[in-house]
Amino acid sequence: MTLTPHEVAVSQLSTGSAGQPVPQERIKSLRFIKNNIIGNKTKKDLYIQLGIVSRLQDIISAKEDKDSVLKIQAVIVLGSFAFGNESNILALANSGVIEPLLNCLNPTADAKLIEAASRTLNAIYASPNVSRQQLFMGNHLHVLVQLLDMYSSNNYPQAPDFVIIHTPELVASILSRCCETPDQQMKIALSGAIPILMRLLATGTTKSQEAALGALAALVKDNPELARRIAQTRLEKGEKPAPFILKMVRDKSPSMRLAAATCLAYLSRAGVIPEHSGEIMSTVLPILVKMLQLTGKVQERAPKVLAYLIWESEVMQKAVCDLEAIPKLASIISQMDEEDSVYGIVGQKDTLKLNSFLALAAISQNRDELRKQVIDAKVLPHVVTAMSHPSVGVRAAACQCIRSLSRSPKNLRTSLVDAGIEGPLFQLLSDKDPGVLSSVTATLCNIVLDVSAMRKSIMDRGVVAKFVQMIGVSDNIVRLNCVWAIKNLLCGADSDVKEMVMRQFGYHNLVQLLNDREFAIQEQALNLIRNLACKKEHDIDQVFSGLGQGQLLGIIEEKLTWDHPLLLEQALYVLVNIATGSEYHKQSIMKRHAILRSILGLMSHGAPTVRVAAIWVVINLTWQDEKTSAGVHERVVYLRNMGMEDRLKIMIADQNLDVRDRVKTALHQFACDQQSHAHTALGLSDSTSIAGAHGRLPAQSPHRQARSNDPQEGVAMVTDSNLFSSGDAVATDAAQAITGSGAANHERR
Amino acid sequence: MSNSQATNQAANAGAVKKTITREEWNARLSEVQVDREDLNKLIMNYLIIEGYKDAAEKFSQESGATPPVNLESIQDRMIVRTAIQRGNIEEAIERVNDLNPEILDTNPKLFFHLQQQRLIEYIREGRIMEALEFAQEELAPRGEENPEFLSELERTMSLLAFELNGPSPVSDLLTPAQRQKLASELNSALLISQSQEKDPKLPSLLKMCWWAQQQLDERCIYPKIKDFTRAELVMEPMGTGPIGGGTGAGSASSTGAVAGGA
Repeated sequence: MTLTPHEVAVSQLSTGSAGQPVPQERIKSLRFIKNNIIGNKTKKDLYIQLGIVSRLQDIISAKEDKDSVLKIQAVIVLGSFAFGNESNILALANSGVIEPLLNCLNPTADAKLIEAASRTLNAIYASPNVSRQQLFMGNHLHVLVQLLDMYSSNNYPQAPDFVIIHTPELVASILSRCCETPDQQMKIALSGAIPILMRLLATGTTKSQEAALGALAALVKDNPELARRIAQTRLEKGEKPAPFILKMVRDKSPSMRLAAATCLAYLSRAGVIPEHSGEIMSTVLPILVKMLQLTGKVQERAPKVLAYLIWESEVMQKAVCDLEAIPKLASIISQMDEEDSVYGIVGQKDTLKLNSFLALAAISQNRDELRKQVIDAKVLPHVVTAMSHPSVGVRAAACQCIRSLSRSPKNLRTSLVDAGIEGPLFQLLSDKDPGVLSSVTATLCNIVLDVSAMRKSIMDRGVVAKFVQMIGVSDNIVRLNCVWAIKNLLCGADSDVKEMVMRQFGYHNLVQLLNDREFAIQEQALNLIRNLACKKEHDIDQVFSGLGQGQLLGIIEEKLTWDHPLLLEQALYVLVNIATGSEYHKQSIMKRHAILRSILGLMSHGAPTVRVAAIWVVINLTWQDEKTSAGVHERVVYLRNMGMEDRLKIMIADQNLDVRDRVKTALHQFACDQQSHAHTALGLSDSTSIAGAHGRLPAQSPHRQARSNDPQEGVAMVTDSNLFSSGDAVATDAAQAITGSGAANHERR
Repeated sequence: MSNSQATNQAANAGAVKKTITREEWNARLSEVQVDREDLNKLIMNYLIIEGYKDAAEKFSQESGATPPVNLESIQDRMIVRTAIQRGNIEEAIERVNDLNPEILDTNPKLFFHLQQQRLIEYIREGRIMEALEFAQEELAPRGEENPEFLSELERTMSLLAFELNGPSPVSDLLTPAQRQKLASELNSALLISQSQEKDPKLPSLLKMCWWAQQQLDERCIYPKIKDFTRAELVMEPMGTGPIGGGTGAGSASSTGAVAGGA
């Protein structure tokens, strides 16, 4: 059997041995291979199958420096493999080429070898799945950062121009790719990279300026501390970086514009350049929106940057919408779906599709009128299709879109039902990817609300059992979302639904969650009890018998000793709801002196929300009507003797309006008791005298207000796809945030 | 463009065009300070991007302008360009890979065009078997990876169906212009990879100058440059403009007269 030229070339690589002069055939073979594989993915695969990687590794690991020509060619060939597909890169990384490549950067090495090794490492680190560990070991990071400075340092007088031009650019790019975790960000910052990157930004060639922007952006992203430091660092002429980068956002080159816009978006979200927020709106946003109509990488990445920039900012979301971003994104998405069906190839432009969904999700995050525009742009069918896309990122992003759209009660009754999201959503609960799961469970928090037309049907599919199962096995974000969803499901539910859910969920599981390692989960579990105990005395009885009255109050008593405002608030609202119940229910609290003492103490807690909740307990315990008036006088006297009334009198001057309002109601109750007691003594009963006061509060809440409602807050974001999973699970209507309203028993709107 | 011009003309038709005399114009011109160094940079920029290495060297010596890049890099680009123009695509590819191995790995379209040109050259030389083999082995997989290349591949393959020198709907592929187009595409890619501008500044300045004169023509009479290769200031003969309140039609015909007189 004759060998192909490719097999011959590979076999020639190992013919040389140490000590011989540089064998010209080996270099010739390497050049042959190089020119065969560059641009040609099929040939790359072929050579990897022929086992070339380990031979190349031997060449680049050789100790002696004489054969740098051979080494350079081998490094370039490795680099070309890395420009193939993901599996090529992993094949390289797994066979251990990273360490010898990092060693090639040694300052004493041939400058051309340094440049080639930088290029190959940069191509390898393009894959997010390659471990970054080695780069942060030993002296490697230090060596890399020094290479950034090749321009200004005189350490490489012999280096050819192209080396001096390319190396800093490649190294800056490597740094930007290895700067994903807070730990990596800190290490790179500590290595002294920031001032050198600033110099590169101000004086480098256009491509290295672009790479410096990329590295600075990576340092700043989700890292307010470094963002502040970088925003305050001065460029050589004393200029601040932000105005300088704002000029670059108008550069001729689209990729430079994108790099600058990305950096500014991160700085802006970090809140360190408030003085430029006007320019971000008037300059950066329109430039990013225009990029949607370009092609290639710039078009692909622009929607993601856009999504990041406008995240949770209603003003910017509106501004982007005024720039007609919605129809542009909609047409990108529908055009891609069309192309996919023409060529029958899915996955050509996954990233563009993914990022476009993210942008739509961000735009429709907060305002109903923008959600309407997204729906009117007819993207929903594409979103639903994408929910079963082969790429996990696309599935998660599509889900994120649904999540934003599901924040509107109207959509939960109309468009989303018509689009048929329920089946695909339920399917996604069995997805393997944590990013998808976190997105889908967060979305379901809204789908199960009682304003949703899908609540019953998704329950019939067995969503509760699914949640229960996932609470047991998933990561913390997904567990939190599942508890959250059950809590929402119970909000405003009838007693039989509550009982049905709790039969599946099990009170013993609830007790476990009340002592979960995650405070956020404990908080949701307390909130869940609050919703269970809401509305009817029967409901409270159920909770008492389910958890055991003693155990429940024991848990609440213990939670009230933590100094954790969110936890305290929910624990107090459980009491608020119990106190709306029968005489027996009220007495069960009154018998717990430790709880009452905690309430008194919490009335002067630093957080107004906690103070309000504590006062609500008092209001409900002192509430008077025909049914409960029996023991109320006794309770008022008891609480007065504890010093509650005196404390309330001091609080009349509280800084918080909400607190002051509650204080007035509570004091009114105390005063009424005195009055009615006096009246009773005179033979006059006047239970209507309190009619003008605020109603009592059986408070249930499917969620709280605004950002504190965020199911993911406080949990570290792990992967990129998780980045956009924050935001509250539900924001259907602010009036549901019971704490401020004081009115009894809100109907859902 | 022509619409808005027409509107402008109509709007200005009633107004009397201002005349600026040669003396006035020269006086104004001499008020403008142009930095000699900037001019030198402009010329150097043109010579480098267009690849005139020897001229750039000479100009550097005579004017004292330092070239912003190593002149060797011009040489490299020119070798690549001439290789393409000679039809030696393989040599060009090897050169590019030596200069920067990343370019062809990250520009699938450019790489496809190079391979397409190789196919064209095989066909031109009548090496049909090799052409077929090459198309199958090298081009078809690229088409699979990027479906947008398929129609171009089909067009190239249909060269085989026609007489080489006869008329055919794809004969443009065999013209020197086809090689020229590819050479420019490759030159641009090399320039970009070296952080250089891919288009020289001078031609766009000339275009701006031409546009500015167009705008001025509607408003006044002045010594203008008619022939950019000579850059002489020519004064319009008096009386061709709509002096004394011409109509829209008059204005249009005056433009015609200018064009005729040129």
